[in-house]
Amino acid sequence: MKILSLSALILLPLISSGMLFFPFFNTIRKIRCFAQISASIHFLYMLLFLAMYNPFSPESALSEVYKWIEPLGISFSLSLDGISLICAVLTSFVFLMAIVASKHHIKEHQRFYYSMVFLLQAAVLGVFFAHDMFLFFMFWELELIPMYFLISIWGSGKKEASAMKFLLYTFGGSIFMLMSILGLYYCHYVQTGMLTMDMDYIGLYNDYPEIVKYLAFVGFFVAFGVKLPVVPLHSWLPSAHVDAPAPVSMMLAGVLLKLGGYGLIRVNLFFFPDIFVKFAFAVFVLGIINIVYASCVAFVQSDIKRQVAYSSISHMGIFLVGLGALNAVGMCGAVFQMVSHGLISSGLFMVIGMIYLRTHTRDISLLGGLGKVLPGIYYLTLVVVFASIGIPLLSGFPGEMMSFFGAFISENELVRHFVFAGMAGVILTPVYMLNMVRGVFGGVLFEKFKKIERMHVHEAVVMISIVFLIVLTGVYPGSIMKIFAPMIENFFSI
Amino acid sequence: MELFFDIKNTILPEVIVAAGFVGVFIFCILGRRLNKRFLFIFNIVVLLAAFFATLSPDFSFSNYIFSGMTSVCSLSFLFKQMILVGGIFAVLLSERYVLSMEKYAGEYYALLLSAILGAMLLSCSDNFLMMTVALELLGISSYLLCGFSSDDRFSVVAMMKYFVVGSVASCIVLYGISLLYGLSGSFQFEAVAKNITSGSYIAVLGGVFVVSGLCFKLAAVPFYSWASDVYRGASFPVAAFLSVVPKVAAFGLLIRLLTVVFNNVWIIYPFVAIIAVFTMFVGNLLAFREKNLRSLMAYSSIAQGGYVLCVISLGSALSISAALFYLIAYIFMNFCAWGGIGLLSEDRHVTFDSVRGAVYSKPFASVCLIISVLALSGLPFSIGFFSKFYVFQSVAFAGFVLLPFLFIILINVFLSFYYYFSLVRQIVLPGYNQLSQKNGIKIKIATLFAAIFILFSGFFSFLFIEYSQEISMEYMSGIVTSENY
Repeated sequence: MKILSLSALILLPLISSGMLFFPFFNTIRKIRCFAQISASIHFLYMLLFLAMYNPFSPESALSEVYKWIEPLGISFSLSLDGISLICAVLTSFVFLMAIVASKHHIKEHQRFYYSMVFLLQAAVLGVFFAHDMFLFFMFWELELIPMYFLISIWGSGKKEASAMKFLLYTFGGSIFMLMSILGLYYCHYVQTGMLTMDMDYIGLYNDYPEIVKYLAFVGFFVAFGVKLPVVPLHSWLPSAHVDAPAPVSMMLAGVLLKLGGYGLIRVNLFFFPDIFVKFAFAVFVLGIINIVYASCVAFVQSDIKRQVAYSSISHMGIFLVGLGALNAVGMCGAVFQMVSHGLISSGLFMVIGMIYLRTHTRDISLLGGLGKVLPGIYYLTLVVVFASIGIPLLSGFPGEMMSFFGAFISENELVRHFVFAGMAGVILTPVYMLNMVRGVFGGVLFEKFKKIERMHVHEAVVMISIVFLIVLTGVYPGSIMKIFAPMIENFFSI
Repeated sequence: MELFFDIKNTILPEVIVAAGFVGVFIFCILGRRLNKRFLFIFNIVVLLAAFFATLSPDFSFSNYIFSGMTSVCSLSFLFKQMILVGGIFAVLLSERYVLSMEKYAGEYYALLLSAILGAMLLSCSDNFLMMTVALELLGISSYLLCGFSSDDRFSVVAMMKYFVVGSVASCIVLYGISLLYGLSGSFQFEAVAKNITSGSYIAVLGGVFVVSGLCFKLAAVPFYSWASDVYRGASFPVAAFLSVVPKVAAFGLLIRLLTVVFNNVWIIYPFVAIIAVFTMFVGNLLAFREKNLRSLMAYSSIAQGGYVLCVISLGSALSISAALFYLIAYIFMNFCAWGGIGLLSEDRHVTFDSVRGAVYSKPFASVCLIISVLALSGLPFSIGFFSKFYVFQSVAFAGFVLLPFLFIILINVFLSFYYYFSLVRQIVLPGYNQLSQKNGIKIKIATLFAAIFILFSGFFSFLFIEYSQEISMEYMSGIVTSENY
């Protein structure tokens, strides 16, 4: 087991990010080659973790602890369990796909671009692996800087304003998270005399005063709610997604939104299970608002990228419903929904990027009939869109079904009674999704689009890999369920 | 012999700097055409010698030299070290400016040394008389440095403004001192503290006057308005010097005043906290619409000073150690930023538009500027993040009552993100600029050193935290024993 090192997993992208500035990488070809090789090695190494991971034995949970800032009780401590493993694999995959897909989207300053992508990957993996609240917060903040550059330099439209909005929203949320972390840290120190930031100590300690627990819970919820996003805090997301270049939107929707979901599970649920019980119905209602509101807004958008962005919000609502159910089934559904949404949304943004490259528009009224000239893209898109709607045998279905089933059998009576509202919201998804497909691929083909390029090889590789995983997880959900389900069942049985 | 030992363990660094000051003048008289390079090396040697003299003091000898005018403890030696590091940076950054001078290069270096001397004496003074002398030495040298290029209208206007505000502030300090002297009959800090009663309104008034007068040096709220004009009007090494060294010295004095003299005066600590809150808001909000790089740095350093004031106003050993760590980080971050700005353009009107796309035409300077600006905003893994986190931690550990206070600080950090990132965005975005500044190798070395320090010393921040905790613990325990005594 020596070959598996979590810090190597974080260091690999970090080193790649620095290595790109060597004078050796002076042509676009070399830079892209290096970036793809590095991301592939990372993905293969990640798969090795997946293969070696045994969810049923707690010893196989990897952890690494190094002493760091002892006067403040901070250690460099990383750990891996089922949920963080599946999120990390998704991260590695989506970043590889995004790097491959960047070929035609990124025309200038490639070196800086790929370096920022790798830095972002390191930061995201750091959040997933961190086992120390300080480290968690630091990686959480680190992720802002590359993302800010990625949107503001290579984006389009009002990219600068969108990047600033993203930055300020996320940091505004982080303020509450930092206050909660410091509050717990201080309380733990006062009550036990032990100065530590380790999640095992300050997270699983139960004797905090009630008020501290409530405040910390709300603080964490706001921070993660901005990232997820939960509806009143969502307005950064459509503008950031729309103005970012397509590969960055893939990363943003595929991975960065998962940080919020991961945080809600890791911190809000695992640290404060007793408070979560009281807030479960509120979480559930927020989820339903997410689903219904975002679907309705998505329906009236004319920009297809904005539609997909709102569909992301709507899908994260399903995650919240599963979480609010507060039982093992709902929670498995929520995590499954996270993974499947990572695949689906990155697929959809990839499609939109391909269409935009060829037609230079994203306005649904200016598009039409593309199915005739781009049959490959059309069929692959249909699979992704069906998965997004939740057709059985595709990855959207198990997550949605388990989330709602969990809500049906929830112990909370109110949750049981209001599931129908969320179900009604799900009916809205096909409305705007199919409307989009019809508008883009169906109908009359405009004259100017008759001679557009067919699908490139690298685009085909990306789309086929994403679709393959969507079908695989849809046909055999157990393939990824068995990684995190034992851990969740274990948590709810206690 | 005993006197020699006393000097060695108390004010040897000051003596070396003072000797250097005299030496520069002697060289100027001896040879008008003396090489500027020689003066530069001489200055660096003097400052390095003074720095090494601060490294191993022996406090076991008695230390009340000059009837207790200066205090001798590890805290004051740390401040001397910080001031000397700042001085070395300022001398390195002055390279290009001095080479462009036709005459008066010697006077420039001499004034720099006298300002450093004043700052060192200010940070360790233990007596109101000493404090006044040091304040004036530092002040007058800074006014002269600010208006050094007297053929430049902006420079003279800035100097006049600085001078007028500075003299008003000095008057206020003197008035406060006279009130305290009237109450206690002594200038000695500890004696004053013993003789004033905590509820006395005159004592409160005196304390408020002294602290507000010091705010001039800190560029804190009642007297912040000079900062923007002076940083714009002075030449860039002088602006860099003024944004760091007088501030650090005044913080050293403020810590001593608050813990020794006003420890029992009831309203002074909340007063400092209110000043801190206003300072942060003023700095951050004024920076919002600012498009001139130098004015932006002025407002940024006002806000940064506000964070330090916040922790000082808590008055515990932990908070003082947070202030120390923050000041150490601040020196490097600010000098790195000023070095970057100086390498980009020496023009005092350099705006956001004129640095657009600078990273492609002048990569070295731009990357250093970006690193320092991100560190000032709290870039993770840089020393800026750890020092800011330590500030937050020390505020949080002051108890739950101060939760709103912590929230105010965090809101200010949030506001500061906007302008720091706007600046970074301007530098990084593709665009056309006309920056054609000549490079100076020493400026580059200083900036590079500061940038590397900012980026990598974060991993060793535990060393700084341990060191500053040790010093502040020792300092606070010293206060307690002297009270008992």
